[in-house]
Amino acid sequence: MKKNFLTIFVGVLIGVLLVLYLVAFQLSVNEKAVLTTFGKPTKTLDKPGLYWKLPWPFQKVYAFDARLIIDESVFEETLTGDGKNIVFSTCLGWRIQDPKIFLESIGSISDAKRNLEGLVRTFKSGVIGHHDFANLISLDNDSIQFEQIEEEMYQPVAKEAETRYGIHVDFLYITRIALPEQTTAKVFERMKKERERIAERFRAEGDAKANELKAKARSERDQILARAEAKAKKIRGEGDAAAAEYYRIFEDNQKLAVFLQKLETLEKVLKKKATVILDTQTPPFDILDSIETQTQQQTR
Amino acid sequence: MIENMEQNNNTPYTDPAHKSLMDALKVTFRLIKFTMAMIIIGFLCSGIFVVKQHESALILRFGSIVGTPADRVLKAGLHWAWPYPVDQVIKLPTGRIQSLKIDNFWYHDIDTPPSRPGVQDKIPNALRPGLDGYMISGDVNIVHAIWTLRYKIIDPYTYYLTVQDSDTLLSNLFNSTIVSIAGKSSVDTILRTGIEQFRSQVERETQDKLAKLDCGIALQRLDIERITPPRQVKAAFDDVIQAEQEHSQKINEAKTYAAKIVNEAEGNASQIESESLAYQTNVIEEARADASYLEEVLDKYENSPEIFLFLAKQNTLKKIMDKLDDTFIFSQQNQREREIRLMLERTEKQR
Repeated sequence: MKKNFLTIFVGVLIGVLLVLYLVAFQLSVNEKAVLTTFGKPTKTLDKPGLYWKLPWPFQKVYAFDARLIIDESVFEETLTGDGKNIVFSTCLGWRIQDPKIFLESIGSISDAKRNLEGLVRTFKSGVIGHHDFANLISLDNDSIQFEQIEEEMYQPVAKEAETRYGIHVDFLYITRIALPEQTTAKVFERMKKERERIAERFRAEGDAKANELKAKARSERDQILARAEAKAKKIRGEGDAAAAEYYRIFEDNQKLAVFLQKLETLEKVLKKKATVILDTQTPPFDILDSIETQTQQQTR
Repeated sequence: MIENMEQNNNTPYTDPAHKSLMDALKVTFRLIKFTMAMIIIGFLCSGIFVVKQHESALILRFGSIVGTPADRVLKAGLHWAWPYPVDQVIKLPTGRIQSLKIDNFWYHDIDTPPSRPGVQDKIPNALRPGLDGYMISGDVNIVHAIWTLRYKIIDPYTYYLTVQDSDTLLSNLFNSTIVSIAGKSSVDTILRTGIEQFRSQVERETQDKLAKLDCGIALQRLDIERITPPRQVKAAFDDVIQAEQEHSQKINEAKTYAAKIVNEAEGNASQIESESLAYQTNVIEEARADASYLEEVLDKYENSPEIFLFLAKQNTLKKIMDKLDDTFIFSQQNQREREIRLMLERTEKQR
């Protein structure tokens, strides 16, 4: 009896699982799905959970990854509005918004990538062609329109993708900008010249600044010395003035003062290494003369 | 019925073969029961899982996330979920900072290894788009760089719902930020003066883009691994650095010189001043001395001026004569014309 019960239990279990497998399916939180009945989309499923369906061939479920998908476009050469060639690529971040439209228009992620790539290509060259090179790359903040350009590409792509493919485009960014190969060689030439000019300027500026500093220092030196001289002159003048006070007594006794000064000067001037020639009239040598006269007189 | 009964009663005893079959079946049946129980226990136990220290986990029950926004994220520890196909466990490395190297902006040098070690191969004179990566600065200069992004999953729920490939997402957001910021910065800012400012601006704007997208990822830090001007013009860039060094060296030298001569001038100035002060003192002292001397001798002079003057004169003469080298005295007695010749070529006398 037990044996039969078990057999029946296992049999029923397997049967139930099989039926469940045919008529039930799970939808994950990061998926969206469409239920088709005889190939015709009948129900859009965008909430996660367990769902029922009629077994194949009556109904079929198409589930799609609803997460963000990022596509980078190919690196392509385009002409800007002012006739410059640039090579650039964009990236597109998108996700499936309406699985029904998506299934009807495209049906698979890989086809969607191809379609979107074509869509981006349709608009991007046009947008770049309406802008100058300086709108993308420039030191002048007023001419930069980077975000505006991205926006101009994003708007039509996003609109088309949503209405035609049921795809929501989260972002469209320019991911790379390059120059054609021959242009890079010219850029190198220019960069080299620029650097040479900058180096030259540094050297010249260094000399000029150094000379300026030196000249300034020299004039400062001259000023310091001039000030010092002026001050010294004043001090000396004060000294002379103070000395003059003492010399007032000289004025009262001019004859003596002059005489004493003469003596002092004489003493100072004839200090050493001087040869003096005097005649015998100078005292005390006048004595010599008088003696001579006396002797002469005596002998006579 | 009777027959049946009989048969039933008899079989266990009458047919030994039958009996042994029954025994065997009983054992098998017990074995199957045990196995079934083990399978069920094993099935339930297979729902136990461990969330590691650096991970967070989500449970999907029939595709829906289990739990409220407050408790749906499972932290490290032992957890249980219904086995597949009821539940599905998603583990995400939320505690780990992941790094992503970006070399889209570096030149292509992989396929040209040096032909001989130590010998530098010829550098191509142009860059091929698509192969050689670079940034274009606002003044249309080319700069190569390698970056490293460090990021973290901060919201596992949003991350699971949004992100398919975090590396592709991050690298594209980052690339677009770089292109737009480099395109309005000068090459000197990027390479020299504002490198940190440039780095943090790219970091901030990438973070802003991530936040705007709300994808559960946060950029922790952005690092510049390498940044350099192109090989083709490296020498010119190096020369600028050298010129700059010369520039500051010249200025430093000039500053040193300036400080030196100003110091010297100040020294001289104070010397001039002190000399003048010395002069002042001297001249005053001298005047005072002269004055007091005059005062001293005034009495004597006034008593007999002639004698005083004569004595003073003679005294001075004595003093002078003492120090003189030679003295010649000529008489004027015989009023004749005389010629005196001096040989002024003397050797210095020993003292």
